[in-house]
Amino acid sequence: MDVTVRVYGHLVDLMGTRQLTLSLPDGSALDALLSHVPTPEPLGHSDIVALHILVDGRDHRLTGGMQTPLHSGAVVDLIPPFQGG
Amino acid sequence: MTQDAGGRLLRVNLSTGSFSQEAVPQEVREQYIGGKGFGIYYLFRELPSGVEPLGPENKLALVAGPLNGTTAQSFSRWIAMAKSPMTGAIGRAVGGGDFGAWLKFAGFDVMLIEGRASRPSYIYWENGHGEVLDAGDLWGHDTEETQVSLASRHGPRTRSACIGPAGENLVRYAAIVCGRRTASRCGMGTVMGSKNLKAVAINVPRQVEVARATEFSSLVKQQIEAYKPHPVVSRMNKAGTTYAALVFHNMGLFPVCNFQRGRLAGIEKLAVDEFAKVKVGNFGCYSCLIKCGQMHQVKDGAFAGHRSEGPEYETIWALGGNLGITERDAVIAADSMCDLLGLDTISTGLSLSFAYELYQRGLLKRSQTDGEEMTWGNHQAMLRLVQSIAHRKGLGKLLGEGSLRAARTLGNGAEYYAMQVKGLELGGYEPRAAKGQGLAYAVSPIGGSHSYARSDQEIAGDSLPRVVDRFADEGKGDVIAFNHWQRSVGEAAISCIFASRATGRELTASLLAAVTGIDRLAGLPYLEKVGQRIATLERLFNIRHGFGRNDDTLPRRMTTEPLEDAGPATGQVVRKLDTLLDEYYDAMGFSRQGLPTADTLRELGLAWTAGFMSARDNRQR
Repeated sequence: MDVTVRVYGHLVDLMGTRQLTLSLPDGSALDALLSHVPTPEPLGHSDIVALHILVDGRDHRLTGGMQTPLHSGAVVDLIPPFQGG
Repeated sequence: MTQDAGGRLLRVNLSTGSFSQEAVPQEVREQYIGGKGFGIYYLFRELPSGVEPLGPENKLALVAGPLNGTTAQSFSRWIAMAKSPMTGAIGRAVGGGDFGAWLKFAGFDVMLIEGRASRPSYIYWENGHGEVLDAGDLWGHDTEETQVSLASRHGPRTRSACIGPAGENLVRYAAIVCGRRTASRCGMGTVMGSKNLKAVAINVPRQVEVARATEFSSLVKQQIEAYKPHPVVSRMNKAGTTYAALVFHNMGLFPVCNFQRGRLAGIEKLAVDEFAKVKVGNFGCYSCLIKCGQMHQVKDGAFAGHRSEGPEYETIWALGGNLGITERDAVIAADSMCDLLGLDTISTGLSLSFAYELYQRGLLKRSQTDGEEMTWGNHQAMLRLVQSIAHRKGLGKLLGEGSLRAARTLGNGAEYYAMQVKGLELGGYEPRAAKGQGLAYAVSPIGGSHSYARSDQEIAGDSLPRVVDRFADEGKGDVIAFNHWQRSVGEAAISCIFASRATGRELTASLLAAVTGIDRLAGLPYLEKVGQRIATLERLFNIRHGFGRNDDTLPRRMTTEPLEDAGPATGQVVRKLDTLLDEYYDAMGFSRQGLPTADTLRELGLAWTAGFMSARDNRQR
């Protein structure tokens, strides 16, 4: 299944793009997706904990955490800490 | 260095030209800290109901925090408070730059400005002596010209806060400006203009008292160490809040075309990397390593030469996407114009989007728009109308009243399209896509403020006091109360909202105790109680001035129209505002009518306020 990943901040610099599509086995969860994000160094636990992660717009901590099930066409936002105006 | 640092008030009467000084009582320092705490304490006591916001009886408080002017990082913002000409409720605006530090260097935590000068004037303070001087030659000048003139006249050590033509012309949402940083919201610059006060200029050497200097110095070192690796610090330095536009857009939080929908074709033209292409430097407030201000200069094209310290997210949104505009350089030009003219970019943008939507719906005819084709995305019309608003000409005269007053003048159902609460326009966070934020707008004592109790649990994923589902219809009133208390402490301290994550609550508390010598300020539960006290006193101010539960509401669009075309937030609507209000009131210790209960007043040490309230309000409690 194909899942869209959108990234922001320093992750754009690391990945060289704002958005990409990852192909994952059916039934994959969020943790599987994070292990496939193409950064020069794999994202560590502290990197991931600092991120505001949305799955289809919802905070992943409310949808099953790292075990949040993904579906074909899902959109995952990886948002580093930031402040709005 | 002394053991008793801070706590002075300077009272300036513009009607008589007199200056007098008072000590802020020790118990007030302990219970209100400074900043917004001092502002609401004095204004609650000194502004009775019935005060006309633009009359001489209104008072303008310019307040510093206890850490202003010290080596502590990111505590140099300052606050202006008065009864607001936008809302008739308490008004507050937070500014940056140097002015807060200079107020503190002059030895004051509060400058309380009363009366009205008989002609255009400015307050000048130098080395323990104040004068009200003639500003006839400054009247009509923009905010940059005014500050340059004052520095030239009084010396380069001088710093000033001033108004531009918008404040002189009594545009209801005029700002006070220091450098290119603005104290924008609620028309605090309008109150200055109503007092014939062009500027406050301070010329003093840099010195500030710290109660426990050695401990304080060690804490500042800790703070700077904490800044070095913190991702928010580097990101704010690199891009400021320009980073936020694309994030919020993708979350469905970025209101488009006066909150009609949540998706903007061409949003990438307003994204962070587009602004990076025209960045020419950084700017920071006094004693702040972050330097989040992004200096932008348009290099070529129709807007070549326009230079702005910004725009920040709110302006990118209010004068950009909110008007269907994706022309980056036009937004930079508009931001620059607003700073120079002394206008709040949020209320300017939303007064304009209100008019654009009326035009879209045929409720405003071209014969009423000075000939402007007010179609979404028309940035040329926007720029001309910004000038018209500041100078109160043509349609700008009406729009300079703000969207609610303009709607009531126009009638014919126009009020539905005014995106405001209590008369103050909303910030750039769609309430239907973050319903706790909707509640925060509804209960904000100053009206539609995005920052008073901002729902960062929904917006940024904060986990204190707990994670919140932004689409949930209920179960978050206590979280907004928590945010209200926390931000009230922040604005008493006065900590920069951008830097507060990097400094942290514990270190902020320790810095407050060390600078003031008041040990109990080091305790977080104590500070939370201070925040609750300040928030409750603001509520009491508003009740005294005629506000109640019915004013804690949202534009009807938010409760009746499902949000359109907003990605994951599409279809959302605020369904249970009354339930959210009940939850919030319960958490705040208010009755279901929104009045602080007698028990709450006793617990917070506010029983004394009963003597200032009407018999009816006291009975209802």
